Amino acid sequence: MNPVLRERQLIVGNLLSRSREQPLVTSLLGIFCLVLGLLIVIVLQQLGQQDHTALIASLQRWPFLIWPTIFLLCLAMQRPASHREWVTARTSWMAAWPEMPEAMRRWSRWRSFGWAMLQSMGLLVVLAWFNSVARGDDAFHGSHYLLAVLIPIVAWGILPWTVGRPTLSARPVKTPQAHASSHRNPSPEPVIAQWHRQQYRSQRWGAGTRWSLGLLLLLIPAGAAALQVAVALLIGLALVQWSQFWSAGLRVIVQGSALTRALPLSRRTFAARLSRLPMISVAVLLPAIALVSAAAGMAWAAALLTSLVVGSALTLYLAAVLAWRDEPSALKWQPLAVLLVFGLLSSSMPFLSPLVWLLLMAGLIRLIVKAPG
Amino acid sequence: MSDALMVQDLTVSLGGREILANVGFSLQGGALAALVGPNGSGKSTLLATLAGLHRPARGEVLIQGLSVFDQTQEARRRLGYMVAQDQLPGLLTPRQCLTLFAESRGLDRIPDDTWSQAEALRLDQWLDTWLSECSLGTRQKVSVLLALLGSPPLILLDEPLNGLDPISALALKKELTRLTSEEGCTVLMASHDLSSIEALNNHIVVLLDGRVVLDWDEDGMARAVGDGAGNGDANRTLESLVVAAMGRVD
Repeated sequence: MNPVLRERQLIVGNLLSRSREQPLVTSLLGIFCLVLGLLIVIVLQQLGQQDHTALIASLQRWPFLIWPTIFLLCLAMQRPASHREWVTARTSWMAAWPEMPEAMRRWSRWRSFGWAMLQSMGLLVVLAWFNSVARGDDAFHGSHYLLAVLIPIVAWGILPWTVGRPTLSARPVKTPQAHASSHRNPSPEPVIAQWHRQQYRSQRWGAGTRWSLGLLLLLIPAGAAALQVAVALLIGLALVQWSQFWSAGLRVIVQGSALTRALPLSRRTFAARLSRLPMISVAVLLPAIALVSAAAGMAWAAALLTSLVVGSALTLYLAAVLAWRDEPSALKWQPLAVLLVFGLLSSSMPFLSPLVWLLLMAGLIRLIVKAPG
Repeated sequence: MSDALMVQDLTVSLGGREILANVGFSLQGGALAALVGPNGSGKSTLLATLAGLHRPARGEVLIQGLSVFDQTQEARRRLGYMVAQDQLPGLLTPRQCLTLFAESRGLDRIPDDTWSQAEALRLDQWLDTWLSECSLGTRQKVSVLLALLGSPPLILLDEPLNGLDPISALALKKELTRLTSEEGCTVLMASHDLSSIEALNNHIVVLLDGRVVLDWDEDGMARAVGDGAGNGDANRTLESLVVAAMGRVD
């Protein structure tokens, strides 16, 4: 058996036995997963009720183009994980195993294939389901299932598999600019802004970004004019880049807070400085959403309302990240839970949503300012 | 008979930067060698390259005559390589790690020697605790044990005494001496503990800016210290000689 697989088996076994030892935590986690699963099904159900004629028509028109594209994009999304595994095989405890790095390469190849296959099959199932519940769509041929399975296998078989083999750097290599600025900060740009910019630059063309952009192709209606395609891609590109900028800001908040926890600076002031760029990015996004929504034919009032809803959700999320910035493990769930509460209450009582937002924001601000310092 | 380890003209570049340049030395079977050098001199990179984890731009590494880069699996089966303690999997226990390593080395169970070593290092009470819940010193002991498991002909250790309590450090030194003198293993250990080198090691390699500036076997060490005493320099110890070598400016 591949030693990597054996290691994973043992870890899963350990986690299962630990979860048996803590039935309360396990039950709570199970309930949470169940609720999350139900919510996903409800959202999919809602999406399925909409008209997907154009999407299905695109798939039926260019199946040999779209399915390999989807699979390759899913495979590309696995590349960062493959890179991490390659580094793991050379630097982690596994580096001492005689079978390394060959064993890790075999594992990585099959794992990437499995995940890419699962993702594209999942997408196929969702699309087929949309088609079955949508009104008035054309039939979704069974041959699509066959293509979705066969094409990835062929693509994977003929791809020269060179994923992994990045060069490892034992130590950071300083650029001339870094040399010049190692003892002083000659830039008038504040350090946090520099940090944010570097973080954004390091992640702006990640596999996830490329995957998202590729999936945008699916949204192009069949028979769309070149101008429509260009506009759709431009808007998509802007949105994806905005989300990278936003997530870079959130990362800087968490890392900056951890780094400065022991420093004698005012934590509240620091939190305000950390949140400045994410707030500006929200402020830029809202008018853009209103404009695009209006340009897409939405009434101005509805467009403004849409941007307000998005703004409310983003500011709540940002406040939640700030509130739990010193507890990285809490950040996995708490901000999502806040959004979930806001979404559920607002959708059931829309007229009370400003009040719900205010109450949640007040609670979060209280947590933010409660931080020591 | 071939050397336990032979390093020839080894040059390694990482991230476009030359870390090791024309490194060459050899170790006989039974040598307990110290690899010494200032921080950033390339010790860990050298050990990783000897283990076949970095491909050099030039040069060769032979373990008992087998090329690490061309006969990787065969060469690595003769090698015990110590990984950094912070790289151990937090969700496994020391016992599970040892089991996996034993399987990987083709053994049907963890050897008795390893249990004795675990006892000598006072690790036995932590064998079934997740590594994420173990202290730094305990994880260090696990890293060392994994490298020693199965008494491979060549053992590469990266600062094995770091983080060990005095009793465990002494037990480890005794065990390394036993492995080299009784079982014929060859040990190359990166170390900063210059004071114990003279008593523990019978070979010393000093690395400075990726180059070997001093390579003495037991005779060489004795000669260097003896010459100093003969010349009336009573303060000339191995430690002072190594520090002098490390202080050289290119």
